[in-house]
Order: sequence, then structure tokens, then C-alpha cells
Amino acid sequence: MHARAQALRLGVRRSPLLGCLLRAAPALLGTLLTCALLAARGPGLGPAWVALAGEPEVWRAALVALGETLVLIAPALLLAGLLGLPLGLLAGMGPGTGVQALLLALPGFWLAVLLAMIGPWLDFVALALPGLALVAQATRTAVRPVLGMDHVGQARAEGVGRLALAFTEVMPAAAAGFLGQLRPLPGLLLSGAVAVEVAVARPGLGRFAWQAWQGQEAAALLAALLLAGALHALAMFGLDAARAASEPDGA
Amino acid sequence: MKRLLREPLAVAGLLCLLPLLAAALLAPGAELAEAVVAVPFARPGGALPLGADLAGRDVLARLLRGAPATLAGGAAAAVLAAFTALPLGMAAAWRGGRPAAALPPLATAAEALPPALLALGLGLLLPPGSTTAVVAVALALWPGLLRAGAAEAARLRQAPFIAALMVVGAGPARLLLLHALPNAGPAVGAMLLRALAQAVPACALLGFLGLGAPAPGWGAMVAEAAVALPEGWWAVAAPGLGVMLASLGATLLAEALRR
Repeated sequence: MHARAQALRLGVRRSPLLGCLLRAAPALLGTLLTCALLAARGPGLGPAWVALAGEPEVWRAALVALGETLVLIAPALLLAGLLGLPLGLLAGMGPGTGVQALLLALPGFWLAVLLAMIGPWLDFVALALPGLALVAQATRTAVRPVLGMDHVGQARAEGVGRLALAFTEVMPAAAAGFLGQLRPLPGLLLSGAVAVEVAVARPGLGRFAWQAWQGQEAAALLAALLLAGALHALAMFGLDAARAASEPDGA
Repeated sequence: MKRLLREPLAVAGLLCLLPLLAAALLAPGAELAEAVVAVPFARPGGALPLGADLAGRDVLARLLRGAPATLAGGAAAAVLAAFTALPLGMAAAWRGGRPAAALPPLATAAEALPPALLALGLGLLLPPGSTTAVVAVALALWPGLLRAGAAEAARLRQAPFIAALMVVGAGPARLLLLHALPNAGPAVGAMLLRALAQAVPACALLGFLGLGAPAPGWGAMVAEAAVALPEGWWAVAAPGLGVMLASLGATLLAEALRR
């Protein structure tokens, strides 16, 4: 038993990807366990769990809805990254927590309802703003310790400009810490998508799950939960793999 | 406390939270919140500072009436999650070895499903209402607090004063209970406030989805008024601003406590 654990530890050290897979595995296990618990404990849910395997139309509808959710999440993620990174860099290189605190405090569902008055296509902005705050916060937290490093001080002394310093010296050294801080982002976006889709009646996975809950359609809800859980685990694995790849020693 | 009040962030946080707490304490009776006092969507002004909703009810009276359900729901979820996750995370990290190694996979498994979807799943087992929202939000907060508690215990374990006490022969239980925990006070307070900052919007979201506190809970109030937008936008704006203020106040206070 001890030898097997030691071999596993050695394998993880040699292959960072194996380590990422092992770290993401509990997320998949957690999804399966939660769905199994719901199926076992809910009234009349046992047959739904069994029926799920034999209901291709439920899976088909859930997959179509998942595609819609991804179409909503992609521009939100882009906007959050494009604005959050420079905002976090600015905050990291100077004082300031107020803007991030304000953006994180914005209730996404409320913002989506209000933005829908201006134009329903603005729904991705409601999803992007809390993501933007998280990206900015992660950048700020990752950048602060890097600013005290010798090579950054040396570049500054050599007269490297603020912007060049940020992108050539600070960000590469802060990348691993930044990606590690982004762990809550997939959950935040998927959860936010439920709120936004219900608020603006967008036919994504969140609305699909909400309608399934309203109609107490257990098979459809379980399918939505399984797909969301798998996507969440995949995103966490991707983030972890990117973090491992950006570490100087590849650990 | 005096040091905290000298922090501008703490003062700003208290300025956000105190009016909301006062609103929760001064909440009017149900009959006032449900009384039809004006025409539907009467504009804000005069006797109706926040206008009327789609049924002609006073938005301010409903906002005050909904404050205890929304804020207490968030606070209950934060406290429930903190009282179960923090001791477990701190004890396991303090002990080290296998208990500490088991924490990251446990937290990853617990946060496997995005919070809103987990809440919808829970809705299959429990009836909609405040209790379901509190349980669902506490479950969503649990992994983050478990990690935060473990990180704080690991930080304290490395502290020089703990190492010095170990040298003079203090036992692990004595170290944890008499020396480490009293020093973890501000950090635990900040964790609780950060959990509250997440719990209030989460409870409001579940109200909006129909899983949490019914109207005049703030989330459900937004859902009620959203159907008629753009008419009566004030009936949507007011409860959302209340949620934002509560979350912002708790975040600022947590940040001040952490410094």
C-alpha cells in the first residue's frame, strides 16, 4: 500500500498532467455522488435516474441548451478578461479595492433584468461584471508579491516603462498565481448563467434546469446537473493544467 | 474596535450595513406591506418615496418588510457554513498529515456543482422557502470556508510564537485552543463577513428563482416587478440596490478587518 502511494506520488511529480487529473477527479466524483443522492432520496426519483440512460431526447435537449449557455459565457469571459486584467494590474500596482468590491456585490440576476430594458443582447454584460471583478482581484493578488522580486526591481531601475514592465516582467512571473486564484471563476460563470438566462428568458442550460425544477422533471434536471458538473470539472482541470504549465518548474 | 473605526473601509462598510440593519429592525407589519395604497406603478415621490409596485403597494414598506427575511437568511447561511466548515478545516490543517491532505479533494468534491444548479437539485428534495435557501447557500459556501479555515490554521502553525510554545512543551490541544484560536479572531471575523457578502446575493437569487424566501423577500420582489418592465423600474431597482449595499458593506468591513 505504502509502495503504491509512493509510486503514485512519483508519477504525479514526473507528470504534472496526471496531478491535474487527480485533482479534478473529486469534482466529477462529487457531481456523480450528488446526482446519485438526489436520485436515491427524492420522491420517485429512482426511476428517473434509470430512465435518464434511456431518454436520448432529454440529453439532446440538454446538450442544445448547453450550447446556448456556452454562447452566453464566451463573450462574458472575453469581456471579463479584457477589462479585468488591466484593472487588476492597475490595482496591484497601486491602492484600491473599492471597484472590485462594488462589481462583486452586483447581483447578476438584477443587473440582467435591468440591462434587458436597454437591449436583451446585453445579457452577457451582466454575466461578465462579477467575472471581471474576480479576474481583477486575482490579478491584483497575484501581482503584489511579484512587484517585490529582484528582477522586477532591476527592470524598473533600468528605466523600463510601467506598461512594458507589467507585460514583460510582472505578468509572466504572476501567471501561475493568477491562474490558481481563478478557481472560483467556472462556478461563478455557470451559476451566473442560470440567473441571467432565467432573467432574460434565454434558452440555456440554466433555464432548462430551472424549468425542469419547476415542472419537477427529475430526468431533465439530473441531465442538466450532470452536464454542468462535467463542464465545471473540465474547466477546473483546464485551469489547473494551465497553472501547472506556467509554473517555472512545471510542477 | 477603535482601530477598526479609524479604517475608512470599515466606516464605509458600516455606513452601508447600519441602515439595512435598522431597516430590518424597523420592519413594518405584513398588513402595511400588503396594503394597496396607490395606482399600479405610481411614480416615486411624496408619500411614496420609492413609488408603488404593479399591485399599487408601497415599495418602501415592502422593502423594509422583506429586509429581515433577506438579511437574516444570508446571515444564517453564512453562520451555518462557518460553524461546520471552519472548525473542520482548522482542526484538520492543525493536525497535518492525512487529515490535512484529505481537505483539498473534499473541498473540490463539495464544490463540484455550480451553486445555483446545486440549489435547483436540492429543490427536488426540499420545498421552496427560506430554509431551503439557507441550506443551499450554506452548502455553496462550505468548500470556500473549509479552505480558508485550513489556510488560517496552517499560517498560525508556522507562526514564531507557536514554535516557541512548542519548544517549552505546550501540547497541541493547549496550543490550538489557548493560543492559536484567540489569534485567529480577526481572520475568522473577516471570513464570516466575506461569507455574508456572498450569502445575501445568493439568497436573493434563490428568491428570484422561486426557491427562496417569497415576496417581499428582495429576490422575489425583483421577480415580481420584472414582468412589467420597463414600466415601474423602481420596483426592480430598490430591492437590488438593497442586496448590493448589504454585500458591498460586508465586503468592505471584511477587507478592513483583514488589514
